[in-house]
Amino acid sequence: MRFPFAAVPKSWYHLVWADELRAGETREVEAFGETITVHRAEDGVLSASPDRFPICEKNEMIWAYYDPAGEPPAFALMPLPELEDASFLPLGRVDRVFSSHVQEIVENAVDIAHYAAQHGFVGQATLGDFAPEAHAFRALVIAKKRVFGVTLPIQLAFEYCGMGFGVGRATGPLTLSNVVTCLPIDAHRIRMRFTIFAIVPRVPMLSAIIARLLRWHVWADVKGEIALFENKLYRERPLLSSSDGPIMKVRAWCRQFYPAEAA
Amino acid sequence: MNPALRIVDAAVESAELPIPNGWFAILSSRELKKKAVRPVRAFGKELVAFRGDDGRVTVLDAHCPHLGAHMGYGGKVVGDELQCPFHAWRFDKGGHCTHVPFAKKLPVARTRCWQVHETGGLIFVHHDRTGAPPATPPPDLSMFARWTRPIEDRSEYRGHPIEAAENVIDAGHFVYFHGAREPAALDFSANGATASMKTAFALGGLLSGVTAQMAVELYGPGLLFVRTKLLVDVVVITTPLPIEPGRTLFRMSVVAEKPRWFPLFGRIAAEIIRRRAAYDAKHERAIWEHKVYVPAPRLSSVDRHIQPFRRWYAQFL
Repeated sequence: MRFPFAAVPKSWYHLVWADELRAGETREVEAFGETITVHRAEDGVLSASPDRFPICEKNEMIWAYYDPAGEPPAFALMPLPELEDASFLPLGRVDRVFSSHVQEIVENAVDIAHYAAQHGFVGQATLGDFAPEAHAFRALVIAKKRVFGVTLPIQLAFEYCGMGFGVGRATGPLTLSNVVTCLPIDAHRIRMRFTIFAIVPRVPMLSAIIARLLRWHVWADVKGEIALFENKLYRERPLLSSSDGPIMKVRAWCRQFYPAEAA
Repeated sequence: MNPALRIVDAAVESAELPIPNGWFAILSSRELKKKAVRPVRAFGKELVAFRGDDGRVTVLDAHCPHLGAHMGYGGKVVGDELQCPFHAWRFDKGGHCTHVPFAKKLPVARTRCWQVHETGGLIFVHHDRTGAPPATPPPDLSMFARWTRPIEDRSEYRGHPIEAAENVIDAGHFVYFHGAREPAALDFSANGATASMKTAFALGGLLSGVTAQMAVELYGPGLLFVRTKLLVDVVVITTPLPIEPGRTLFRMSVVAEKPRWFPLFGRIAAEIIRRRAAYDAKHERAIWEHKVYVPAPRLSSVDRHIQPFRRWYAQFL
């Protein structure tokens, strides 16, 4: 076993983007070790087969709730204010399947020590705040980052809602939100998707170029990390140093989404 | 019941041999240039090999003791040290952590360091299941320094590395696989961790009447030379590497003497032998892939070297 916990913790998971399923359409999605067929009737009503998983439409995405015991959802999905704010422009999407576990992606957000080596942060990132509350947590990462050769101060505010839905909001000279949704496909693979929004100057042509550059930057920023996730080992007892983030605290928060171990 | 009539049931009698102890070639020198980092799978483990600025090769357990990144994927050589791609921790040639960015205090961290010996264009490491130090000195291929540059052939098969070695002392199979007219006359002798075997076999078919000479030298479970003559001496340096239980990387490096009368001929002879060896190996691989290892085989008088060979090999298991 590569990971010392179940492949699918109980949470809401992003199946498809809402615009991928128009009225009257049916889609098959690989999730939780099986194939789930989602259907949108002409009247807009969603249904899924098998129908063990509650489904809903929220934040322009279609979600399924997984609970190994078949309990009803323990929490609701948080809203995305970016969708209500006209100044945010949708920049694009990323959709990748690789070998890992959803918890690796959650832990990665508060792993402040990896930003310098992996994402071109300059100097040491500091964690302004780590606040777990019930099924959600917030974390604030304060750092400097090189973007297209310029070093800019940046604040990264993370908000997680369950194990499959997180948002990273970068503020500073640049305002960009990356909605990170991870879906466990089976015991080995996850599907990671980004839905990216940013505030860019509304100048014809120019905004399209900026959007393209930013989308490219977001992808370039993480693509090297995928090989790392695919080949890394999950260390239950990592050897941590004083420069590490609250790895063990986020692990403690994650534990609530797994069935309690039999005593 | 007459034991000769006993039916060998593969499911009952085949045995999984453990990964042997000894020196094994994990990479060729050419696969690891200066400042290069490579992931290596061997002995059922994940390893990382890198060559520092000083040209020396270091092999470590691949996963960083910090948060588990495989340093063979994206790791960098900094001076003579390896830097992990994930959080940029650095490890020296002994596997000790020497640098953690921004840490107030250096944690005592270590990843296992493997004994390495580079010789004759091959990088050997010592494997021992109990972690004991090598009982035998590392292989020495320096005698081929003035010979042609090795030409390589690699393939993988399902099975134990013993198959590659047992094959060369298996007299009976020469008829079916190597064009011999009758089972080869063999002379096997073992001495400590080394063993040798000489054979002469009459070729059949178009080469009827020609006697092929072959000498085999075995140095532990990971290295064997097949010496033959094609006007000049040609040696097939064979290094089976156990990748994981039941899976072996079969690497052949062919070298030849450079004759004074026409040095280039060495290269030609090596290439001819490499083709022949690769052709034979390709056909034999089909057998190795699907055969089982029978610990108590039914042998005929032709096979009298099989058991002495296995007794010799048992010291590495």
